[in-house]
Amino acid sequence: MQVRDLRIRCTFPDSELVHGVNFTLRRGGTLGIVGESGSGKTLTCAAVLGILPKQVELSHGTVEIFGSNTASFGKQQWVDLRGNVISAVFQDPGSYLNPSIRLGKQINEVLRVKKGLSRKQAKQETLRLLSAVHLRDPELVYDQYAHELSGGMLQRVVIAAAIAPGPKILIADEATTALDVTVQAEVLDLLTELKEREGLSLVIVSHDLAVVAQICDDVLVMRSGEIVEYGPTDEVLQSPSNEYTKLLISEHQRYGLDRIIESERLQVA
Amino acid sequence: MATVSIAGAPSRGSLLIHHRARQFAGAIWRLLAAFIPVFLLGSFFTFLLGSISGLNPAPLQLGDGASLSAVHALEQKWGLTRPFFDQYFTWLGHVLSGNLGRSWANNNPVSTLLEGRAIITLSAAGLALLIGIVFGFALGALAARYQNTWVDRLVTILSATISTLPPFIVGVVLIDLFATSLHLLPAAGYVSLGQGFEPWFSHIILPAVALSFDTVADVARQLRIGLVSAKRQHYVTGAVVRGLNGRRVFWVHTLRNAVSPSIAVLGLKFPALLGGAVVTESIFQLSGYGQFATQAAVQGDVPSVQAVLVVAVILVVIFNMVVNVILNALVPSASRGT
Repeated sequence: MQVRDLRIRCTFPDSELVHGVNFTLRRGGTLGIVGESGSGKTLTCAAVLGILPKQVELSHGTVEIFGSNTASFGKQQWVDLRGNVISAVFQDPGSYLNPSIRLGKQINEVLRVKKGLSRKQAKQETLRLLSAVHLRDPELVYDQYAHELSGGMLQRVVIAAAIAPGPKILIADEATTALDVTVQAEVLDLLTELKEREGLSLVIVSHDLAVVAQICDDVLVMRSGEIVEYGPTDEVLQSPSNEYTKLLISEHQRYGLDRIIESERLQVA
Repeated sequence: MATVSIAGAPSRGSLLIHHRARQFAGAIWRLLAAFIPVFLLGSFFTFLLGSISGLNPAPLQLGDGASLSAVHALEQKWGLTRPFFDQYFTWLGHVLSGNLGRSWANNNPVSTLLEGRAIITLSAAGLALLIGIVFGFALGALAARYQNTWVDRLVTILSATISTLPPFIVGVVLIDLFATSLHLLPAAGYVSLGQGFEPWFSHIILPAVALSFDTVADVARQLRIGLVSAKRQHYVTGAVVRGLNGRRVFWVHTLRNAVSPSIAVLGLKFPALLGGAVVTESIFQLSGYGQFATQAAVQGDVPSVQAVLVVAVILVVIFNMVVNVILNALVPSASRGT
């Protein structure tokens, strides 16, 4: 996937929100996008998925996914692209599942529509997917509703639904943000595992540098709709060239847990 | 509602089924717990009103010049001298076993008198309900689909307008237009369904349309709001991102969660439709339920009025129970206990 000079405008009031974003996601690679809220990372993802809100449009630049430019896509082509080639999971997973339909049925639906499976095959495949995302009891989850599960379990279900049709690219937009730290780590492990096993390419969007640093090959730092830093994760972390990136990293050092533990150890000594 | 968590139990599937069955039984229980008191209160006030009216069958059966002792004997015969609660529970027992008492006017069983008339009213109200559902849903869906365009505004103006038109005005206009001017439909009267669908339908359609306006408007407005807010929900975005097409997202994901307020409105509208029938029936000269009620009230035929009321209470209670069951089935998360 290649994004070139992507600019996103809001038509009313007329203003440009994202000013020329470039990046490349290699096959099997993991790209992290970091930035504070309002920096344009979510809009960039929405543009890539073709789900920009009304009154917001892609005014310039191209998104190329496996060689085809999405600018010329009609409704049907987007429908074919989503799920099969590119999919996404978001923050607050429970809200992304229909509250009135049993969880298993929702994954079932995707499999039947996108892969043309029969009801029976779809059920089997759904159960397989639910255990692939390490839900302890697929049979039970299959018949439950979204309001009956915890956030971490729901994110697993959402991930299972997203990868059901076998996409090549998965965007995780703040997918671990509202989860508590241990669950967050589990979900990140799951994403990494799926990447290896299913050959996914990942885009990890987060405001948390630590999340991105853990699993991404490349990192993109955005601020106010612009890229302020882009490069391999190690380089960016070791020798940031931009002031804002430096600030992000130093704040992490100042407030990070390591620091506190360190200082307590000093006090004890 | 907690997640079912049973450590190491062998058959979680069956436990879940058990859990669902308990939930279902709980939902039924809550329904009954709500509706049985409604029925009891409704029937109690129905009877109370008849009783405190102080009316007795004498004027209807003995004429104005009856002697006091004859009136007293008659009251004794109808059981009106017994204590109130004694009378109430006897009456309630009869009602529950399908016996609505005898009319003071002609001594016939009220249930027989009502039967034929209720069918007329239920035909009109039922058809009005159907019109309300079909057109209300169509208009509401159109307005939501073309939100903020001229279509949306047109629907909003139309539904605001028709909801202000009372059925008796609409009825008169409809008769004038379709019967008097265009000679397309009969102006008044009723033909039973047994004599063929078309004659029945042609007599019932105008009153039904006159009755339905308010329902069409309310259903349309509720569905529009429901759809507009459901469209913005994350689960709709979720379904789109999973690669489902627009039609599927609408029918399976948006509509299902948007439809509850409109269905709840139907539950509220049903009593209004029954009540509206009283006026509409007199315009279209249908000798239905409403006409029967008016006639009985004017005559002072207390058992008939009580029967009309208690049957209306039963119909409304049953209809609302059906509405609740549908709502629970459509949106299970709304029915969860605390």
